[in-house]
Amino acid sequence: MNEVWIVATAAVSALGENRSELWLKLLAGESGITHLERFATTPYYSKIAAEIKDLQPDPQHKSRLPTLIKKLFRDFPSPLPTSCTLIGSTLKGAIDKQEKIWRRETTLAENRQSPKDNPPVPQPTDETTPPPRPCETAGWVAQHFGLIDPGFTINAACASSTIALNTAASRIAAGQQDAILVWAAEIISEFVFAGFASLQALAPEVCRPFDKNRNGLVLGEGAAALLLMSARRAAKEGYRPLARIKGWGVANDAIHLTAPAQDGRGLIKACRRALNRADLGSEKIAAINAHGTGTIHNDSMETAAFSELFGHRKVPFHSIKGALGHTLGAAGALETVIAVESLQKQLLPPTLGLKDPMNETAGMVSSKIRKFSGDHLLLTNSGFGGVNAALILAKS
Amino acid sequence: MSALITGFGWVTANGYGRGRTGGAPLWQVGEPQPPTSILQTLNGGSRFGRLDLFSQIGVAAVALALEDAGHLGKTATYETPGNRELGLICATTSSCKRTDHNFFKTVQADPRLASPGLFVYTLATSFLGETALRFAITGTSLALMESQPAGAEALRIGLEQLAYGDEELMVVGICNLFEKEISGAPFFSGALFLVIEKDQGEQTPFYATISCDQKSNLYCNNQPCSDILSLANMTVK
Repeated sequence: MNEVWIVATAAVSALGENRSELWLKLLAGESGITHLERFATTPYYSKIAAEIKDLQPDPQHKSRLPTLIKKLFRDFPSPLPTSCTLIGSTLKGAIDKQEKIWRRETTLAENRQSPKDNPPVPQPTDETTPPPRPCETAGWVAQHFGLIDPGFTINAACASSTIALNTAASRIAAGQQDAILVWAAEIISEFVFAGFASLQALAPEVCRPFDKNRNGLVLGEGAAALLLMSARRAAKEGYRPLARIKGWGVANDAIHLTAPAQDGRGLIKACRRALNRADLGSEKIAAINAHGTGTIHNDSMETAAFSELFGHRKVPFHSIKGALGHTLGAAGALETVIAVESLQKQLLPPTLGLKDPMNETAGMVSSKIRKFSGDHLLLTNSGFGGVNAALILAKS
Repeated sequence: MSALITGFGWVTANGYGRGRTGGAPLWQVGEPQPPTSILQTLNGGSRFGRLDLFSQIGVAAVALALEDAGHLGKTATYETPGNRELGLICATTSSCKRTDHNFFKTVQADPRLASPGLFVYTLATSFLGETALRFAITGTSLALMESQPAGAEALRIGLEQLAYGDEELMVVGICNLFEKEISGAPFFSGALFLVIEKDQGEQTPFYATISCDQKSNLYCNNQPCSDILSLANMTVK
């Protein structure tokens, strides 16, 4: 099997427009979570999110997503290596554009039904906006790099971009391809905010991953990209490895549609698959970038899984969602970009929002920067539909 | 990479069926009807009404495919000798857009009363979850969005999982529910799933061999094939 290298990364988030800024702000304990300004939050019990404040809609495409993608790739190596393909991840894509179209349709329908009560209103300026096309976001990424084939996007809830990385690593390891760009992007929209509010899953004030008093997640927006290559191709192209992807695994709980299996069975299986593929024992894992959403069920499930996998060994872990919010389909890719930095610097950023750690996490999770020493870092993400994904990065 | 196609099942606007009793699917413009007689027999069958139509047609097509391959046990869950690991890959072009719109109508009506029951079905993974629950699928499961409803990437990933992954059987297919205004070839609403298995030298009845070369070209019995739709037709000829 070929060795899989990560040779370039990029990230845009509420903590800045590039990877370095994000890393430094995470270490400084800064949070991107603020009062949400994108739409009126009056009807909702939560009014916070990790929003990119200057993210304006693209005038041509009427969505903030193309703007986010442009920011993401502003300093990214271009053109991509010949024969490099794309695998993406976004849960709802340009949902902001679709929201506008639905709102306009509703207004028009109401006007048709009762023209006397509702005199004609001026048409929105985006009247002619066509509805989003399938894989439109992937098309914008392809267009940026001058590629014809947009590839495909993975939709596996909050584990989407981790699975996109799994799929890319598997293809490169098997020799099916030797260069793949994995990208992920998600924007904050009222559609998604209202959805998580309806599930009572949003934290009203602060996101507290792995805290006894955690009470929900905070939504975030952001994008990340990772260029993966076989070692041979990377050497030929003059790239050095930032980190290696050594193991990956996916598994389903098959227990509940939205809630995770409380014994962590699916996540345990995904991690064991990743360890087997990496040919590593769990004692080789030096640190973990956990999903850590701040919801009651996710964090207790993850803690149970880590306990089963590592026994009494206290493996340090952290969550970045108290700083960046939950970026859904982009979460795994953003966290992988951060994990590459973690491995290189042998530092885990603080888990923001953490005040009173769950008993089971004592000595493992901290609101302060943690040093660690080792060559392998485990990443985990889980999502609706019982999906769990794990990735093992190795120091280059 | 190669595998045996051991079963397939489908739900279209023309009805539903499986390879060994119904042949290849007939695609036509229109709304697929939820096959209640199939759904009621499955684990959690009495509650199938809470699923959105996208999930209903997908779950039914997976059930038909597993039954066709002989892997639907007496309790209507996945059963196979040796408990061979099973995964699921679903390609979609439409995703759950219709459910998206229905959910957003509840947001527009009153954001405080937005429907959580609809929101969970705005993700294609909810279909994966419903399928995993019913058939005890604990292996790799993912949905992927493609610009053309061909399912070629689902097939490739399925073959990769069998060749290099942890699964010995994969259910791979497409599930789409298009809006009326864009429905028409090749954008037909419906679901088609295949069961593909590693060739383990057993006397497993199979339709055809599917393979993928190093350039990612797909073949059915060594004949080029471009997608899942054509594959089902080639399989029963």
